[in-house]
Formats: sequence, C-alpha cells, structure tokens
Amino acid sequence: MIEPAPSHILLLDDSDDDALLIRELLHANYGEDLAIDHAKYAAEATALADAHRYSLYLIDYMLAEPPTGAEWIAERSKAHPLPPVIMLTGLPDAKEIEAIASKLPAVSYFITKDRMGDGHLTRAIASAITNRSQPASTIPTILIADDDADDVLLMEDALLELNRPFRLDSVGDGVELMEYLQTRPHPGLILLDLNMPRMDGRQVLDALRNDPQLKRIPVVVMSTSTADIDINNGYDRGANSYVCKPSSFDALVTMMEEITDYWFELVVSPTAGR
Amino acid sequence: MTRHEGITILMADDDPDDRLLMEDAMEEAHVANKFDFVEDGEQLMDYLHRRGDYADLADEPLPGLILLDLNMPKKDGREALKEIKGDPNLRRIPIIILTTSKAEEDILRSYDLGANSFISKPVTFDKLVEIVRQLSNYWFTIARLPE
Repeated sequence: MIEPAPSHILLLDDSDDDALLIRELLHANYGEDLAIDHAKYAAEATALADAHRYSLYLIDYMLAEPPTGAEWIAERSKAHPLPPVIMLTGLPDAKEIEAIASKLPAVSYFITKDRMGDGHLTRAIASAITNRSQPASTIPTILIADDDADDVLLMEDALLELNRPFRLDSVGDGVELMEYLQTRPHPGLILLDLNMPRMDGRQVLDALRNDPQLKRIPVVVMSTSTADIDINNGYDRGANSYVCKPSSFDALVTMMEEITDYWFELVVSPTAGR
Repeated sequence: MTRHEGITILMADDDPDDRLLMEDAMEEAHVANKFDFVEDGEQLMDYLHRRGDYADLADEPLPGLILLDLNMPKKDGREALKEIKGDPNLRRIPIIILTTSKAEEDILRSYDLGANSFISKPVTFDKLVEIVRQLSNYWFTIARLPE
C-alpha cells in the first residue's frame, strides 16, 4: 500500500511546543518539503484557509482563546468545502471523544496528543487522505464535465440506456469540477469536455495532473473536436484517452458501452470499487 | 487494410513466452497491426529514441500504443514509464501497463506516473484473446489516438 502524502497542511494549535513537535514528526515522515502553516488562533486559521488550498487540516480541539478548534471547524464546514480534517485532543476519555465526534462529521480522525508519536498521527493522515480519494461504495461514479446541458442529458440518457449500476454526476465547467473533487468522493471516471467557460478542459487536465491527490483519477476527454492538435494536446496534458462525441444517439450509446466496458471491466481502476 | 492497421503496437516484456502468447492472441483476435517487441526498459528507450540497434527505424513512425510490463531487467517498467511520460516528444503515446502484479502500490504508482491504463495479465489464453480484442477495439475504434 503506497502511503499518500499531504502537500500543504494547516495546523491550528495554540501551543508552540506542540506545534514544534508536530512539525518535527511530519517532516521526519514526509520530508522537509512538506509545507505546514501554523495558526495559533481561529482568526489566523480563517485568514490562512481563505488564502490557500490545503490538503489537510490538523486542528487542536481546545484553544486558549475562544472559539475552540472544534467550534471553528463546525463553523467553517457550513460555508466551505474542507480537506480531510484530523483533530488533536488532550481528552483521554473515549466516550467524550465519541460525543464530540458525532457533532463534527467533517473530522476524519481524533488523535490524542500524547499518542501522536507512535505512528498514530501519520497513519491517521494516510487513512484520512486515502478514504477521501475513494468512493463511498463500489458502484462507480461517472462524472460528466460539460457546459452544454443538452449534451449532458444525452450522455446521461445513453449511460442509463445501458442498464448498469453507475452513479452519474455532472458539472458545468472546470471550476465546478475542481470544487466537486474537493468535497465529494472521487469518481471512477471523468468524461471531460474541452471547451467550457471559466476553466476549460485543458486547464482542468493541468490542474488534475499537478495535484498529488487528483492525478490518478482516469480522465477521458470527450469532445466534438476531431482536430489532431486537440487530440495530441489532450494526451500531452495527461488525458488517459480521447474520444470524439458521435453525432447520433445510437452511436453515443455504443460508445458509452465500450467506454464503461473498458474502464470498469477490463482496466484495473485506481479509484472505483477499491 | 484499414487506417489503424498501419499503427505499430510495441510490447515491452522480458518473458519470451508472454511475447509469443501475445502474438498468437493478436492473430486469434484478428488484430493485424504491425507488432514489435523489446525485452527491457533500456531496449524500449533505444527503440523510442531510434538509437543503438534501432537507429535504422529513424524514418518509421513511433508506435501508436505501448504494452508495458512492470518487472523487467536493466531498466524496469516503472522507470521507463516515468521517462516516457516526462519526455515532451514521447509522452502522448498511450501506455497500457500489462503485468501480473496486482499490488495496490503498482496500480496507484503507475497511474500517478501517467500510465493511460493498467491491465492485469490473465492466466488463460482465451482470456488474453478477449483482452486483446477489447483493447484493440477501444483504442483503434472508439478512442482517437494521438498522431
């Protein structure tokens, strides 16, 4: 099992000593390149979280000044997509932690601070990140990214025609796609249109392939363009495959059947059903 | 001859039996593409760069699809994959990892390094024929390959 590593961590902890210890632990495990931003108060954490896209939050449950780390996470989760969250506590009582955990669904793991050293923290980080990158069930999700609502409907109809268990989702542009991937279980396959407003398919490919958490998600470019320059460019940017949207519905159904046979039956997927 | 039959499939595998089986499976599946072999990662890179023993291929088009084994001597599949996907002149060639390994680490790492697909080598010949049929159908009929 490969150990997934976070790339940028937000640490909210009012104790400088604890922050130093955590920093040492993480750098020893993931190398000195791991970026860790340390906030001592909730307001500082908010400012940092607004300014950066973190791959993980490490949050101290208690803080010297209110709000507590728990209150901060509860508040922030209402309005913002969160990365995996690990909460650090001094609480020795499992029941008390359970009671808090039930009120904080955004938190993946609770770790008691005096047990961080024995590999507990790095194991929790690995699980928090891995679970985030796997779908909740073994039914694969196909995510369609296309700004043309008619095309999305046609593709969904064609996939439904196959009568197989897929979960279908769609987003209208690259910005929505990136938001989806930050907040939802990763799809087994992305069908990506090239020309979309705000953030197009090319920019999406660049963003995905440069993100350690997202780079392995299979992407099939599905475009009306049959131009070699678009096909070559799609592969150059890391598309797993490129197909041209057919002009008839029957051909679309056949194409969807071949695509899903290939990606969900023949190929060993990095995300679906694992 | 249809258009895609002019496309070369290149297989990199150190096991001569596997290479013969693949050749038979392609014939059985009526896949008539030109089919080349290399035995390890170093040969693969020489082949793709048209150097050493492969210098005389300089005027031939690059392969349209590479079937890559992970465990090979000299330079293994992981290293070759990383090198190819890091090379602006080669990275667009679709690479299908075809290996007996089912290790999670190999699967995830292959995709992270830019493999286009990961397929487990089957245990029976019939299954191999089926895989070759599906592979060639997907890549030559459904998908559009880079030029």
